[in-house]
Amino acid sequence: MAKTYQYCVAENWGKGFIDHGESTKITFASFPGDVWQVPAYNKHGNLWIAKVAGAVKTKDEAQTIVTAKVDAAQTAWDNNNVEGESSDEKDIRLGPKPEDITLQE
Amino acid sequence: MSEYKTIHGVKIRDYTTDPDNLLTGQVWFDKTNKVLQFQAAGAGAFSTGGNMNTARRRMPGVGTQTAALVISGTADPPVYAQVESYNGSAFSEVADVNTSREEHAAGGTQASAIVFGDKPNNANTELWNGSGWTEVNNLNNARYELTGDGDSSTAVIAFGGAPQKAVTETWNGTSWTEVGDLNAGRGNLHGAGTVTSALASGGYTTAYVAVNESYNGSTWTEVADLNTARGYATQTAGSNNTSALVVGGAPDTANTEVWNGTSWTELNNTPAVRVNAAGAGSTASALIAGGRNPNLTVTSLEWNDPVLSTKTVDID
Repeated sequence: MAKTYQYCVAENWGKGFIDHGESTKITFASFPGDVWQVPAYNKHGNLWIAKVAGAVKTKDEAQTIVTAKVDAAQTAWDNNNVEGESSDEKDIRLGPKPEDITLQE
Repeated sequence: MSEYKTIHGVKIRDYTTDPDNLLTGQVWFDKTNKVLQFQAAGAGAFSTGGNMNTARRRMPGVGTQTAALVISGTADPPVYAQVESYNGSAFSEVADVNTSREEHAAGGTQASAIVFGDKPNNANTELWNGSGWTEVNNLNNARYELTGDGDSSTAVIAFGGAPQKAVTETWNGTSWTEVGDLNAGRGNLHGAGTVTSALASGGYTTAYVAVNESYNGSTWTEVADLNTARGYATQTAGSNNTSALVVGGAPDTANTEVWNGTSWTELNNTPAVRVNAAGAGSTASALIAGGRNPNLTVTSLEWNDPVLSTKTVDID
């Protein structure tokens, strides 16, 4: 099955990392670990990855990076407690526990 | 082939470089590359803005996309007193607020702002004069998870708050006065507008809600709901209750909606979920800074609608 997306790792440096022209041509998705998803077999996606010097990853490699970051965030959430706080109060204070993320092919 | 002048009654100007101050629909001939070009207006889209110095969330922003302040906020903990100023490309730290805050609200501009409320149930109000913060008269109703807005630090509206507060107050430059309550008391709601024309969307009662209310200077009226129920989103607007932009929010979403005075329309999503971020600007030109995406982030997004671009016409 032909893949729909391609993945890379690139740190968002701020202004100019994604410009409006790129945003109108490509649907971007970002994930923990500086993992970015752009359409596969797409000229504009390839040009953007080159512009940001993105390290291209397979879906499985990208998934490993994202999962490690999510696991760390879940552990940090589990360990962030205030004495006497109920689970509802913790949800309000911190927001929900970070959920697992599954990348698409 | 038809001549352009025959169809439009005018000739096309030619340039060796792109003309300045392009208008949507403007057509010109590029003498250097020998191509016909025009200025097109595309759908709204996000780009990346400058990164903040300190990652945090649950804080408001004021100002415009190119002249904004992001005020205080939390990293669960600590709660920061830091204030950062944005110039359209980079953030820089300015003077701290006197009271570190989270889940507070603000109004005004980059040069003249007011910040009010705080968790848990703080009525404290501070005024920014462009260089420092001064404590002024408190809110009448201490609260957090409230919202507010205003074009200047002498005319600001504050409404809602936790737990399920409906109270609305206006600031006249000296003190707060209670005015008409919201119909649906709620916290984590999104606000925009002025003391005479404001909008309150979404929020949390016992669950996230899509409720939307419009304020006319004295009373709130329920109007069309958001398409997606949410709280903790970022709302920016023009100077009245007929235009607003809501970005992200909880339950975690990347969804963006725009309000035209009558109904909400879904627009392009943010690249990742964005919750508890600060916002500034308008529906045409907005800044979304910090918050969670889903982890705490220093990154910002700039929304522009329409996105202007120069197109080359194929005349072969």
